[in-house]
Amino acid sequence: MSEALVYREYRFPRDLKYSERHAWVKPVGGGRVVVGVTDFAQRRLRAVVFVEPPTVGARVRRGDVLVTLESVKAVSELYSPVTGRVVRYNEALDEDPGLVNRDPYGEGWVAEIELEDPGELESLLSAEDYVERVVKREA
Amino acid sequence: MQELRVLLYETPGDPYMNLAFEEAFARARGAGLVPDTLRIWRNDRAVVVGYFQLASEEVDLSEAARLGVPVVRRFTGGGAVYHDLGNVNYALAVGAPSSDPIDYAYGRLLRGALAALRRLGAEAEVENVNDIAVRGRKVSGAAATFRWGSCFIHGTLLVDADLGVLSRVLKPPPEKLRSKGVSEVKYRVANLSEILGRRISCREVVEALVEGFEELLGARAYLDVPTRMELEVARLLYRGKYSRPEWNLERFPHHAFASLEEQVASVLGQRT
Repeated sequence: MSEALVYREYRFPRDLKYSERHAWVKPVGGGRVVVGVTDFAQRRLRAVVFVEPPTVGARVRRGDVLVTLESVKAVSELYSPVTGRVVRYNEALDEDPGLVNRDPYGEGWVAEIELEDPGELESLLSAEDYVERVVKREA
Repeated sequence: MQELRVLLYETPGDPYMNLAFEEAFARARGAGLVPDTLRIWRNDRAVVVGYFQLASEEVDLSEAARLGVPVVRRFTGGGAVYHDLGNVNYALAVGAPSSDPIDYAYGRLLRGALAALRRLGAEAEVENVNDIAVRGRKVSGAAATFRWGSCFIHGTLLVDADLGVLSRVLKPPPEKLRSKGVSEVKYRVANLSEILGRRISCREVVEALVEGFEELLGARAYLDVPTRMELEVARLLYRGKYSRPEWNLERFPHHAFASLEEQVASVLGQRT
């Protein structure tokens, strides 16, 4: 794992992009990105016990519900940080949804999305901006 | 002084509509179309399962069918519960908090229900974060969600429900789930009437809930009726989701409802 920005007990790898609604985005080439739940958001959720998978092949718009998550105490949603087609879902989450908590930026990734507009990445936040504009406001 | 909108809208004979309306008013609050709202309502005999549950794992479906107890899914998580007219439900939809939403829902909002029980004379305490127990027995359970831009919490309150039917239709949770740091209170439910040793009317409970949440929020309650938009959204959700077996009985029915989402968002003015 590359260098990360640390704020309080939360980690935010600097090579990722972030949405205001707590998704991280990692470009993986070929106009595709992998997305997941930030360290800050997974701690807010508490222990995740179920992940409702997205429809692979479906188009999602930025802001649409990508997956619904149930933690021990509440149901929450992860909103898609980008617009595109869902090409892969992390099926390991079906068996072990706790991966979202234990390894939010690694094994706990949620979905891979093929971007409609690769330029959309530019509009996402850097780790610094996410911490300054979002995490500090809500922490 | 702040005001708290109170709805007593209920369709006890149609649990599907009751749950459809529950989602409709939560979404209307999230969209900023109605103010903070407390809804108090009842179902006649029904089992209500959590968003992620599989009905056949939680409910003895043949026994439920034999007894004429319908099964309906709610949009919040947690375990299956039994409703009848001896159980009063409350639901509160407010704006999203800027702080930790789970702490806000259970650390703060749940205190409205706690205050209500204390007003009725019960020595009520919060257990397992989101249950309320009186003398070691659970009388109320709550669930929360943070969707559609709102913070939503709802809960049950057993007043004089038929616990015999409850134990016949709900399957006991497996032992392995019972030991996960959850106190046994969760599985030892009781009616408030029995614990307090007097008959408690639903009207009394409604008044106590209204006063409990008024006290918590520092607001004055006023009785209101659903808006046309809330009813329109409820009807859409009823037809497209809550009245359908694939929603109520299958675990992950989400995908089937994409076009419904568009319709609801359109009524709420959120999208074209």
